[in-house]
Amino acid sequence: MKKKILIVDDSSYMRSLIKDSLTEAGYEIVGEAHNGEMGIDLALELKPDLITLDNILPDMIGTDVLKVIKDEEIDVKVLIISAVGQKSVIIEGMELGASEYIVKPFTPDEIVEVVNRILQ
Amino acid sequence: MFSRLNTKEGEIANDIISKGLSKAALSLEQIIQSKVELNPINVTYDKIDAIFQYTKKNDAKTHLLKTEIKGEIKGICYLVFTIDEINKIHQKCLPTKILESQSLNDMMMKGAILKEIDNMLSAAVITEFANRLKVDIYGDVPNLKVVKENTINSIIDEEAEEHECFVNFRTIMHAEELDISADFIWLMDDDFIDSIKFSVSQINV
Repeated sequence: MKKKILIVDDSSYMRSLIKDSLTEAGYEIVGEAHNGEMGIDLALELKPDLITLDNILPDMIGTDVLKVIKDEEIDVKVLIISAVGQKSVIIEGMELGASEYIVKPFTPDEIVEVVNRILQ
Repeated sequence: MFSRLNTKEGEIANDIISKGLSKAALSLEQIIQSKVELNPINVTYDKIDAIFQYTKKNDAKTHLLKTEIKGEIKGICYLVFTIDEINKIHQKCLPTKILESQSLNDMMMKGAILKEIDNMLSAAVITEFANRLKVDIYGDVPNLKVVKENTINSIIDEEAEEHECFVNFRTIMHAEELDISADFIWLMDDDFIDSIKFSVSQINV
């Protein structure tokens, strides 16, 4: 069975790039959210295996979305994908339970490799 | 001569700005898959009348991307592309199905890629500031406006005054292969000066 992935990113370009890369690699994109609140709702409803989470969203910071998801005790891996590469933010994300943190820009191969590693 | 900064502080500030802009250039290189060079890099730390502004171009309309910098240091950064440059970026980065599509979603994608580029480039500079100066700063969601080129400098002047941002640096990002020369203009408030001074006093940069 294909692993299910939810994409949370306010950029339609970035959602499309992530979706195309992961679909081609054999993953099922079950939902896309353009803000944090929608991301949380879809995570609860769709119960994906992995969420790709942008860190700067129009309504919330990605790490705050991560906190809510972890508080809800949903069994899901979270991959933060963000242009923000600050050490303190990366450490915070990992301490909150993110599986990995990718700093944009990235190549399609890079994201597939990281998702494969997280979901293997 | 840095006037508001001593020699050591000025050298460190220049180094942080230069490295941040270089990382932004590397990000742009990765996105457009084409070598990017920065020339020139202009920096001023003083409240002067003439800030480094948009270099005039021939296009009547330009795309002005603006990101507000928030947190312990505040500011604004602008990335400016001509219509011709945007077409080249779209051709290079978007799949044919989107380039040829007239659907609303795909049309929006063409603006979204520009905002994402602005997001990645500004984040590269912000990350360098945050890591070197140990400050908590971030860029807000980028804003895109199509404006006439002769209005850009007055927009920048007004916003510099309004936000009291008088630390100013600018570079032009040249991608020779694609014939792109994008202006990347930054305004920072005096917290940048204070952070440099504090960091040098702590010898932690």
